[in-house]
Parts: sequence; structure tokens; C-alpha cells
Amino acid sequence: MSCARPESSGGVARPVLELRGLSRRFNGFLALDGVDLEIRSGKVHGLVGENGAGKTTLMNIAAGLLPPTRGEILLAGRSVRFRSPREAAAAGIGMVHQHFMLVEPLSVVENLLMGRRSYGWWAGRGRAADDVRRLSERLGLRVDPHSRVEQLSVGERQRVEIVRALLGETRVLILDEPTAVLTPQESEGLFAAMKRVRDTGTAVIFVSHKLEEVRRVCDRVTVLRGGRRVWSGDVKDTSPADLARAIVGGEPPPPAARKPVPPDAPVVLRLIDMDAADPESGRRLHRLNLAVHAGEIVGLAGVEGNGQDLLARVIFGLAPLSGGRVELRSQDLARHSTSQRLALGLSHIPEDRSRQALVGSFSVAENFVLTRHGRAPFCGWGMLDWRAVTAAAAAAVRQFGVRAASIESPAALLSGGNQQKLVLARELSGDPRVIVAHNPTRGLDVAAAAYLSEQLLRHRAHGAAILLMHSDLDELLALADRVAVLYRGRLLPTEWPNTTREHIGSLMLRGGSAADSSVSLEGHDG
Amino acid sequence: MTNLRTTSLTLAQTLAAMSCALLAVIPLLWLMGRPGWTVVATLWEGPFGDRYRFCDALGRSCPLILCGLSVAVAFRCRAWNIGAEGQYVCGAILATAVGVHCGPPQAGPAWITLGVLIVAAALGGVVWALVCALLEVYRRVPLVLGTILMNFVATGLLSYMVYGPLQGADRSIPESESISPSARLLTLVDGTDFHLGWYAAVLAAGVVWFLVHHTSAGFALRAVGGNPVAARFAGINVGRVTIAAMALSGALAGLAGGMQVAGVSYLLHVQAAEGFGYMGIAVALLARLHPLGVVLAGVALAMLDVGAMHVERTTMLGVPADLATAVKGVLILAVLVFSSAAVSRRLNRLAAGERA
Amino acid sequence: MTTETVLFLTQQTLVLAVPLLLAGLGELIVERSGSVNIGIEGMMLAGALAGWAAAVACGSAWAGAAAATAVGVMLSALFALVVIAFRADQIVAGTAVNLLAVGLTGLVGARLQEAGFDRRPPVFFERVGLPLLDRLPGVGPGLFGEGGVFHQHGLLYVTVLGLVGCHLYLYHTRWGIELRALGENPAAAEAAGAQVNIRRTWAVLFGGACAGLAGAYLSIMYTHRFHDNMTAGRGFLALALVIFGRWRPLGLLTAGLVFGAFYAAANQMHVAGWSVTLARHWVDVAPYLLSLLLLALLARRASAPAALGQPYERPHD
Repeated sequence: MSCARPESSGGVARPVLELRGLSRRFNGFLALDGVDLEIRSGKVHGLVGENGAGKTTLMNIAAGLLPPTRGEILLAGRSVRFRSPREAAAAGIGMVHQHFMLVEPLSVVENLLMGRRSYGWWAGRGRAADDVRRLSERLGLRVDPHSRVEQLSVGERQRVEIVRALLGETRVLILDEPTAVLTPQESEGLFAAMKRVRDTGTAVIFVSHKLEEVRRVCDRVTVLRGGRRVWSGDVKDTSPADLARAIVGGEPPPPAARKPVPPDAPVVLRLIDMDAADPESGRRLHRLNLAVHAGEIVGLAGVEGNGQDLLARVIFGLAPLSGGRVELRSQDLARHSTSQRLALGLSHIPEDRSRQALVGSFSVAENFVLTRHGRAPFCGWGMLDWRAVTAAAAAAVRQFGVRAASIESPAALLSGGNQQKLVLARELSGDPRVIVAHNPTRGLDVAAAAYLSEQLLRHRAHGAAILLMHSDLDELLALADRVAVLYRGRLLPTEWPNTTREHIGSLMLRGGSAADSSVSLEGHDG
Repeated sequence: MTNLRTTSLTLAQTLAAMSCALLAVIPLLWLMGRPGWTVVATLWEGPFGDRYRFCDALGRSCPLILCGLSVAVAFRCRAWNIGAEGQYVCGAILATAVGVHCGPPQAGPAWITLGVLIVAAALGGVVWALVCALLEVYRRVPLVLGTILMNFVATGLLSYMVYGPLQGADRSIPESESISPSARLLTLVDGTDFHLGWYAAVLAAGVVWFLVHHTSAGFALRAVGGNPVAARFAGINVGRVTIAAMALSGALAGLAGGMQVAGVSYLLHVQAAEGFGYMGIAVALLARLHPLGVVLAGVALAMLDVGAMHVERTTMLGVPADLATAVKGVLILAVLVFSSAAVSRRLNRLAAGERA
Repeated sequence: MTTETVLFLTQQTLVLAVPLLLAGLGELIVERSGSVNIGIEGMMLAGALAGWAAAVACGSAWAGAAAATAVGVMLSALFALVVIAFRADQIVAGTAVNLLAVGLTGLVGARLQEAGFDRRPPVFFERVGLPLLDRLPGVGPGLFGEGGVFHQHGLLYVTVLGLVGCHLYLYHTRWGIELRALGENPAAAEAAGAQVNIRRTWAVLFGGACAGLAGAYLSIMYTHRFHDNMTAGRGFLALALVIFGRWRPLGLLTAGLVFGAFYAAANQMHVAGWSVTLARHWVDVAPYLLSLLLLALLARRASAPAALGQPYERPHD
């Protein structure tokens, strides 16, 4: 499906932003191949494609973060070259990234003052605060100018980023996967704000891999696949099936069949009245009660920052409990160190693989034995048996399809997908009894994400008890047997699958309310 | 776990850095009105022009190797032990205390006295290092700062000792009694500083190499150095590793101090802190933190020192031995530059280009 | 303890706090921007030598001050090159700078001695009283006159003003906010248009200037000569003071005054006749012991700038 339909606009003036033949190469890897894009004022333009298709790269070029290897950018008909994001912003292109560029200890106003000469050199907080208030009211996005960023929730921080992108004469607003971290209700608020922005004449580019959202809010849509543009047209002229096919390049695979959880499955992991507090971030967990049975996947939905990281760390003994117990098959883990828990069959796929799971300077083989370097068969009398290490690592690498130059090459050189496969190889090859995974598919391309899901399902069938935490609700719902919501350190049960996505969303957002799916954000804070 | 190409590239970078450092000093000498090339020639002539000076250099490399090992072990797990100097001093103090009080009548055979002395020296270093390690792990006092401050405290302790409890019979000099002959390390070449301890240092390097690369404790050490967060998640107790590494590091530095007393000076005087602890940093860095490389680097820097002392003695040149310290400073900076990612990338591209 | 002694001790506190505060001010800016420079000790030493040598050579104390500042800047430029441009490890590079400075001052010092510099008459800054205030009745002479509490070198007032200015800069100007961002989240600062590595370099140069000038204080203001190792660890203490002050200028001011008081008390003990006892060795190292104790009791690294010590690389380089 590669016909690029000619731009059938309503005979209006030329596009405000044009990308012509943009290509970008990273060290031999061609991320973008001759992409054309036309963005018109007063329209919401969707940019879709799977993870790894090149959407973020394309937008980073448009916003001045990266120079293109080839091609040109035209702003209102004039060719431009941006040497920095500041130049692009000054020219009227503002971008809200997936990872927010906010300085935590500073206040909202201080963050917005950075780099803006228009407010002068004396931190004229008064004027800036007024501008912020005015803009946030106009958009329907509540932002308190003097609160410190570290006190804000994820949704609130995103609002700050949007306000920042719109301060000044912004002609094009780019939003990169904004709904990935929002609850369904917050997403609704965002869509309403996007429409208001569009109505002021600013062009909006909405980057997403979620089809339904794009169809709801966009006027036009462009599909990227493998770094190339494969489709472009008006949303109302395109069927969902066409779009889906364009994105995937064929028929989407049917969902894997799975057996239901046997009713008599034993409880493997149990959290009883668990209380914990993290002094540094201030997060707390309050009287959590959870049971994970063998052969089931329990999904914990929740907006980032409600205690997921602390929960994972407490289970593995990396953070102390202030009350309650963690039990593995009725055995209290209180006196067990992290390495003892790992030896008992607990397995951890943390959220940030390069920071929490892998030692970049270590080789693939060394990373493979990172959790078991002190135990047989890799260690005897305190000494390492490198032959055993290499043999086991080579076998696992083959089995899990980790693509690396050699087993001795440093893990830092692997691609993101291969790094995650290495983590999986390590964590899953020891036949774990319990798997705790946090955002395991983040940043992975389609194939790698599918592989990971397949692995989790396979271990589920094997009888492992899996606790899955994911900030992307749709990813979570696709895998989980049961769902609970983690909200401000408390666990709220749901009747999934006998409940709606919207209900879960409202629990994520406000911890429980009337089943009201059309709430906007103007009446309350996140 | 490096292959041939990485090792040869590392060697190339190190040699480039060394040449750079020596050459950089020449214009400096010219600025001071000294004959640059002659100085460098004399520098070379120092250790290599005379059998006795060569052996002196080897003897001097003993504390350098041990201090280099000390720093390398600590740095390998990101424990910034700048306190090798203080640990060295403590080792020297305890060694002298043992050596002075185990005189011939009470002493057993030499090897017992020597053994006790060595253990005492190591222990002195361990205690000094552990104070800083515990402060870092339990009170979050940065090791960099803690170890530097303890260096100053050690100097005070040394002063106190040589003016006080350990002072020899002659109350006018800040110096201890000589240690008993049974506590002395055999000098291998008479008239030089080259003593048996050198072989002990080389042996220590081998032991440390084995520990770091072939034991699970060494694996944990390197993991913490590579990524302490991931190490913790993998079940490694970072605090324990840091403390153990600092203990070993302190032991090695203390050993250096003890061996210097037992093999060269035979007593403790107020100038005992000769700076070997700080030079150990240069040695460790030059060796890229590899235990076996420390031997080579230690010998190389000892040669530099002997050369500089020879230059100082050649009075018509008018260049004091501080030259060596300056060269070491430039050397470390040069190694940092040549081993930086930017240069490594260019060198890699060059090497790949030649092949392609 | 007589009023005279108290006044004298207060005066000495201020005198002895100056180099700590000045070097600390420089390092505060450096660390707030994200780098750690443990080479301040070496820069101070080099500054002390350069200041003394230039002052004697040119017959002008101002020449000495200028030379000391320049030397500090040069050494810190070298440091910046290695750790910012080449992104090398900052602790090791700082140690190297210290070694280099010690070696160079030894070499140059010997050369100067040969040329007879230490036999020449010393050139230095005088202390200044505050002219009109010493006519105030009662307290005037005691506080502001000759030998009074505020009979200090001009550099003290410059330093205090510098600390106050630093506070205003960091919390009330756009550039200061951007500087703080450099140390907390350099990627965000870069995205907002502040070029991280260039600004960090300026910060390091400023730190070097402060360190050099602080060294000159020791050789052309506090004392009137240079001798080996005259900094005696003050540079390292400045590092500790930044931590005690929680990376805030006014906190640094407090910490510096506390340590100045401590040095003053130690000196007083020497004068009072403790020099003949063995305890004098402990008195000499007391500042370091006190530092350790305070660090153990008070240090909470949570308030350090988040990106401290991490080199910054632009993602698409």
C-alpha cells in the first residue's frame, strides 16, 4: 500500500509548514527516506505509524533538534534551516516531547522564562505569570504558574509543556505521543484543547500510534512506515481498515489465543497490608493487598508517579517496608536480600533498561550472568567459571534472538530492542516463578514488542505469576487477566474484563467517581 | 574481556599520552630559561645511565605499584579514594611501631617480625580507609572529600607520633628509632633502594588481577563501577562492595607505607608522607585501572622520578625534582584526553578505515 | 575573655574566612552549573605564587592580583578543555590539575628564588578601615578604626558583595535560572536555548578566577610572601563549605564564617602557649576534623544539583 495520494485541499493558501524529501541517517541506519509532508494552518494533522517508523525523528527535525541529512524545510514558503530548537521556536514551531524538558526544582514560571529574552534579564515573574494564566485559561488547561515542577503530576507537566510551546507566536504545535501518559479523561481534555488551538489558526501535528484517537481528533492524516510516507489524506475519506493496513503494511495479525486462568491456581506472590514510603520522592504505598496466582497476568494500571516504581522496588527488597508483608508461596520475604529473592525465582524487568537492568560497559555475556554471578554453575568457591558463562550466554542469545556483534561486545552498543531481549533472556531463562515487569514495551518497535508479549504469554502458560505495570492502558488491557488501579499509592480493584476502559481511566485519574466518561479537565486538577 | 584490537588501541593511546606529556614540558623549560632537550636527555639518563640508579628506580616502583593497585581497585567501583596518602602514612606508622618494639631480644625469627609488621601496616591502611568508607555508605559523606580531609588528619597524626610517642632517643629530631634488623626487608642490590618488597608488589598485582577478573567478588566490583543502579537491581549490595573495595584499597596503600619503612628508610620521620599516595592516582590512570598494567605504569613513573632527581642533582641545569610532579599532572591530563570518547572514536575510525 | 579578645577574634574570623569564601563562591557557581572542580587547591596555590611574583616584579600589588586571577583562569581553562570538550572524568582531571600546579609552582618558585625574589622587599595590599565610621562615638574605633573588627582588606567586602550578588543572580535573574538548569537538567536547558557546554565553560573560568585571586589573598594580603604549600588544604575546605551551605550563597557565607572563626580560635590557642605541647599537631588538623564531623552530621546529598559531575553530550553529535 504505497500510493501517496495527492494533496486534495480545499484550494486554500499554501501550507504553513512543508517538509520536502527529508532524509536522516544515523551512523549508517536510514531512519527517514525522502519524506514529504504538508501542514496547513487551522487544521489538526495526524502523523501515525508504529514505534520505530520515524515519526519522532521527523518531528525532531521539524522542531530544530536534528539537522536533516537531506531535504529541506519550508516555513510559509521560505526555506529555513534551524540550528537549534530555540531557532525553531522563535520561528513559530513549538514541540511537546514525549520526555518533558522541565527542570524539576524550578517553578513553572522559571522554566518558561529560560531562554526567553522577551521577559528581560530580571526574572520578571509577574508578567510571565500573567501570560501563563491567560493562555492556560484560553486553552482550558489549568496551570499554576508558581508551583514547582517536581510537585506536579505527569498530566499537569504536560500542560506546562503545551503552554510553553504556545507562548509567543506559534504557528505550528507538535505533540509527540501525548496520550501515552494520560488517563482517558485527561486525553479528552487534551483533545478539547487541541481543537481550541486549531481554531485560533495554529496548525497542530498530533503524533500517535493509536488509530482511534487520530480518527477522532484529526482533520488530515499521514502514515509513516519504515521511514517512508505511505499514505496521506483527509480522515473523513479514509476507513479505519485502510489506515490500519497502511500502518502495518498488510493484514494485522490475529490476537494470540489464550487459555483462561484455572480457578484452583495457587497464589504465588502475595502482598499483605503493605506500607512503604520513599523518603526521596515522597511517594508512599498504603495498605496494599494483592494476590497473584500461578498462570495469570495481573495488570496494574496507573498514571506514572503513583507508586509503581516504589512497589517494584519493595517487592525486590530495594526499598524498605514500613508495614505489612511480601510473601512468596506463603514464605515471608522480609529477611531475604535482593539477591536471595532473585535466587528464589523472582524476576524483574524494570522500566529503564539501560539504567536499571544492564551495565553498559559489560559484555553481553557478563550482563547475562549479572543476577547469578555468585551462584553455581557460574561460580564455584568464589571463582568465576568463564567457560560456563560463555556457553550459557551463547545459548540464551541464540534462543532469544539477541542481535549483537559478538557475545563479548558491550551491551551499550546494542539497539533498544536487542537490549530488552537481552534482559528477557536473562530474566526468563531461569524459569522464573514470578515476573514483575514495568513498562516492558516502552520504546520498542512492533516486532520486539510482539516478541515480548509472546514471551510473557508463554511463561503465563507455563505457570508463572506475572505482575505487569504499564502506563499505557491499552497495552496493559491487551495482556492482563485481571486489572487493578494504582492510585496515589493505593490499590483499587476493578471488575475487568467486566468493566469499561473509561471506568478504569476514571479510577486512574481520580481514584473513583461516578462512571462519567465525558468529564473535561476544567473542573478539577489531575 | 578485551580483544586484541581494543588492547592495542589502549596501548597506543597511553604511549601517545606519555610522549605528549614529556614533549609538553620542553617549552615550559624553555620559558624558564632552561635547556629543554638537555633536561629530557638527562631525565632519560637518570634511570638508564647507571646500574645503581636503575635499581633505585625499581625500588621506588614498589610503593608506586602498591599505591597504584590501591587506587585502581577503588576507582574500579567508583569509590574515589584520594586518600591513599593518608592510608600509606598510617601503614608506615604502625609498621614503625611494630619494627621498633620488636628488638632482637624479644624477637622471634625474622619472618615472624616481618609478618607482623606487614599485617600491621595493612591494618593501618584498612582502618584509615574504612573510616571514610563508612562515612560514605552510612552518612553520605562524599568519599572524595572525606579521603582528602583524612589525608590532612594523617599528616597531623604523623607529626604527633614523631614528636611524641614514637620519637627516638634524640629529642631534637622529629624521627623515630630505627627498626630492628629482623624487621627489615632484604636489600637485593647493595647501595640501592631495591628490596625484596618489589617482588611482593608484583605478586600483589597478580593477586589483585585474579580477584578483579576471575572471582565473583571482582565481578560485583566491576558491576558497581559500571552501573551502580543496575548492580543494585541485580542483587549486588553496593554499600558492601564499596566498603570491601575501600578496605582492600587501604590495605594496599598501608602495605606500601609499611614496605617503605621496612625496606628503605628503616625509620619514621616527619617527612614520611612523600606523596606516593597521590602518585598512585597517576599510576592507576596510566594503567587504565588494570592491575597488571599498574606494574608497568609503576615502573615507568618510578623511572621518571629517578630521572627527575638526577636532573635536580645535575646542578648546572637548575631544575628541581618538582619537574616530575608537573610531568605527572600533564600526563594524567594527556591520558584523559587520549582515552576520551572523542579521540577513541576517531582512532577507531582510522583503524577501520585503514582496513576497509 | 575580654572584649578586646572577642573583637580581635571577630576580626580574625573575617580575615581568615576570605580565601575560603572567595574560592567557595567560584566553586558554587561551577557546581551549580554541573561540574566538580577539585583542582581549586592547585589553582589557589598557583595564584598565590603568581600574585606574589608579579607584585614583586612590577612593584604593584594590583599587578599581583591581576596575575593571580589570570593564572587561575588559565589553569581552569585547561581543566575545562579536558572535562567539557573531551568529557573526561572530573575528579581525576581535578587531581591532575593539583599535581600540575604543585609541580609548576615548585619549578617556578625555585627559579624565582634563584633570581633573588625572596630577598626583594615585599609588595602587598594594606588593610582599609572604613574612613568616616571610625568617628562614631563609643564603638567607632573598636569596630571601624585601626585594628578594629572591620579593618579588613577590600577583598572581604568584594567577596561578601559577590556572595549577595550571586544569590540575586541565581534566584532573580534569567541567566541565573538558566545556570541552575544546567546543573539540574542540562537537556532541558539546551532545549530552551542555553548552550550547556559553553556556559559551563564560562562557569569553570569564573571559578578559576576566584580561586586564583583567593590564592593571591594569602600571599599579598594576609601574609606578604609565598612559601611552599601555603594553601594547606583551603581549596579542599572550600569544597566542603559549598556542601555545608547546601549550594546556596548565603549558606556558604555562614559556613565560611564558622570556619574562619575556627581558624581564628586555633591561632589564638597557638599564641596562648599551646605550641609547646603535643596537642599543637591536633590543633593544626582541627579544621579538617571539624569538617569531617560536620559533613557526617549534616551532609544530605539530596540537595546537590542533580546533574553534578556528569558531562553533557548533545544527543545528536
